[in-house]
Amino acid sequence: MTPIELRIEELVALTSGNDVSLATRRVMDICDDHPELHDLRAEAMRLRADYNMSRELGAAELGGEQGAAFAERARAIAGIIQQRAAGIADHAGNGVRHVVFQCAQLTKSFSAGGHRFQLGPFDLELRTGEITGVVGENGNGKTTLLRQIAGLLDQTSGAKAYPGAGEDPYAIRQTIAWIPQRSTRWHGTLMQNLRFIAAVHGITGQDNTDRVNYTLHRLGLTRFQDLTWKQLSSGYKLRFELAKMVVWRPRILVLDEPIANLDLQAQQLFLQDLKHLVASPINPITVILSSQQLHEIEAIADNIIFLKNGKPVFSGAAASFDHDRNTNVFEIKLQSPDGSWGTFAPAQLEQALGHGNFHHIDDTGLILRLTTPRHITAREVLKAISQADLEVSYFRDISTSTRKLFHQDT
Amino acid sequence: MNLLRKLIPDFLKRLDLDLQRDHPRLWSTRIHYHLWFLLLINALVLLFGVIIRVEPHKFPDPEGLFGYMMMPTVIYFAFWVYKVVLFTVERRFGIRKPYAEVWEFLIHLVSIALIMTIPYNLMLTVSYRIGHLTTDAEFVHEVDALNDQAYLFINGNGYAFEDDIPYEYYRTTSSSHHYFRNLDEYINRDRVDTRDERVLHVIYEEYLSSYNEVADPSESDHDPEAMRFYRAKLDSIEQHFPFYFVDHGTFTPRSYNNYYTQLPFRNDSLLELDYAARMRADTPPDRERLAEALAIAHKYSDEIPTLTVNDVIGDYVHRKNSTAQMGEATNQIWRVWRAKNYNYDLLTEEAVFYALVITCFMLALLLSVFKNIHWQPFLITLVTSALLPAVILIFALLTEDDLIPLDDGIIMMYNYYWIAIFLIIMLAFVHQLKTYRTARTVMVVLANVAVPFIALFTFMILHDRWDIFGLDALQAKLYDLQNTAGLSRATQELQLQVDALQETIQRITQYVLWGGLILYILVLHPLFRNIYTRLMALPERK
Repeated sequence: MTPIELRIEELVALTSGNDVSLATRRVMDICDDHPELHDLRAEAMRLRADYNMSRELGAAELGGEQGAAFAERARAIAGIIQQRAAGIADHAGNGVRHVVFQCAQLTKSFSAGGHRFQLGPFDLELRTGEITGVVGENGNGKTTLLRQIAGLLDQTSGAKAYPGAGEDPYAIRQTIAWIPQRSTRWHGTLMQNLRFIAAVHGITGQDNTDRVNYTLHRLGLTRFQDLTWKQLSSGYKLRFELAKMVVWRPRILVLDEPIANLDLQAQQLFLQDLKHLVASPINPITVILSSQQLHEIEAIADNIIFLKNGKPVFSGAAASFDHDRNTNVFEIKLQSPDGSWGTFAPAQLEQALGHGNFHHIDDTGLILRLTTPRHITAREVLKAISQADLEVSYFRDISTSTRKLFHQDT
Repeated sequence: MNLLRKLIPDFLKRLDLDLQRDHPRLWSTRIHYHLWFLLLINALVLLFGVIIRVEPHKFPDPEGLFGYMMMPTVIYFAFWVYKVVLFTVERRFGIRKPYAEVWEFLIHLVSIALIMTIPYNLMLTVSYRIGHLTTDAEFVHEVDALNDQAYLFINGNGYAFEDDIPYEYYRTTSSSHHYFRNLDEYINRDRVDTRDERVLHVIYEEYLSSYNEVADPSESDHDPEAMRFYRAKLDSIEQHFPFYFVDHGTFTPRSYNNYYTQLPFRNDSLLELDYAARMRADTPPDRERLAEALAIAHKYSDEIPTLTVNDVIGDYVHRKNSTAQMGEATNQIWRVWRAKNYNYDLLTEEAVFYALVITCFMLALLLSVFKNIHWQPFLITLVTSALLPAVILIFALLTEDDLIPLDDGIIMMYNYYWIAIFLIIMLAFVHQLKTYRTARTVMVVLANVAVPFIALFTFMILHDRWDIFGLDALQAKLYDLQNTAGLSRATQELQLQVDALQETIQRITQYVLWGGLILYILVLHPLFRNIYTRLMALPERK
């Protein structure tokens, strides 16, 4: 199957599923990404706008009859797209990932109160269509690294370049969108800001209207277009910051702790949108973001940078993390069936697994961290727990997660 | 804000959307809303100017109204600045176009200048109404009627027919007695550009001065022979040159019009002659005309005592000071005359025009700077600008004469100049910066403020201090010639040369000033914008 065929198949599946919101968003995306489907853009946008307007502020995604009606409309558009599948070209640039930022031996040193901190040295490349997550504990240099990449902070040593953006600092900044952890106050309405920002980046006329509407509807901001900064909750402020940046399609999008203040649902929605925007075949962008929510970041990131005391303990493809490891690590929380244990004691787990099947069990006070030989998989651990008739309230395989790196240092 | 939005018509809201979408830079100047609100405000101001009480005996001072109106004008200006700085293309790292930046600067300049229509509108509206309280013909008639009876209202040193006053007394107050050879000399008596140092009354003054030096018997210089000689000279002038002017009050338009030649009213020299003749002939007052004059005075002032014709004549007959107190009325008439001619410094003074243009230019420049840099260096620049003169003054006072053999004013001038030159040279190195520096940004802003005027500053130093046009040398030569040759043909020719050179210098000064401003707007402003955008885009060090 070609990428476009895969995409259409995914869309059809989505419109048949329960997530109407995602379905309406993906319909918009595919219509926007392919010139052959531009005649459907208006209908897709209308669908999404209607969907947005049907939801009460702060309400959950639509379900029931109303949701079904929107799903039906989405299916209708998906059906048309499916019929035209043969005529939709895969874009030439699809799959080619251009380097948009690179640095070599990049460092930044600070000295404050007699304490010296050095970030790096870093060797790093960011490519279009990729998400890079920067993780690490507080005070380890995540924001400093992001500010350097965003062109806001100079380096103490090393070199950095923005291929394709030239040497002029203003020209470089024209390609980078920076969203700080705390958004600064802006003036006017959402609509005004989006229109202006798009226009100053050369998107004028009908393109401006289309792009602004697309962004508003796509990010679920339809109802908020005439609101001002003071009238928005912090979650929507962040969505608006994202809208402000994606409306003009920067080459690099840098986000500092974007999901720190979002509830779980908003986090999922935000990261989902981010992933889809990055993956656009026509205008792929590069995203680098920092976060403490490791699992959420790992779920969407192509690359991970783990910082410890300013040094990149790990920097590379998320999928390649610790692939040549000798052990597996699991986080487990068990409860006794009658609740008499309270917090589960490591002894029960040792007994369930049997000696020789694990290296050691750490009790953090909240969970148990189990380290096993690599050949002991999650399935086998769960099977052993199940056979011992223990009740699992939490289980996570962190063998290929950088979360392990936190544990190594604690 | 919502209330203001309701005042905006739909077509303008549509235009706003179109501009924002298609011409964001133009939109960010808010020129469309600015013009609309100026229209509304000016309509309100016009309405206020129309309904404000304007009667012959009571009307506001248009220049005072201008001053009061500056308060809401400044408030509107602050509001406009707030709106204009909210959206900036460069702060969003938008697409830059140098010619668009020139237009943006010009639009800001015009916008600021247009704000001044608010106080001027009120001033002109009220002036128009004051000026049209009477028709010109009626007004001239009223002025003439008062002039005609003026001799009845004198309340200075008392009624005085000059022959009744001891010769020595009025001669010593001779500044009110001017004699002229002919009518032309009389008409041109106060025109600076045509004034001849040797007009007759100057000669008269010289004789009078000499007379007074020798006339007092108690003084050692007393010389009866010389006294008779000078008196004969004075008498001769008085007898043969009858065009004389007696300053008998300020109510005549002429007395204010001394400095202007475009007076629309009849020249009152005939009235003066008539006055003199009446005094000499001891003609009885004309009761009807006096009654008319009193009625006119009451029309223009309700503070004049209600005197009858008999009261005024009684004062006159008994040679008493007039109790009519015409000052208030004549002052009102004078103010009406000013209004009729829009004769206010704010409208007529060239210096006001220059001050307005340069102020608007500087505000546009500062606005442009504020929009394109962080607020911290902007504030630091303002503080530096305020402190710099004090530092330079202290330096000049400490070094004048002792360390530097120059006057403190000149030391200060050179200090300013060399600081400006240093800042401008420094600009050449800004592009080498790899990181943002606040201090350097402050220096760029200071250089930006200095640049439009540096050519003029250089020119003034070269002219004033280094006399590159040779004016000082020529004037020194003229002075020498005047001392040696007096009013000779050579002196007059040299004077003409000096005048011509002064005119040339003045013209060049104008070219340098306006040229500097135009060069800045068209060429240097985009260059500075380039520097600011680069500075703003540079990474910080911390």
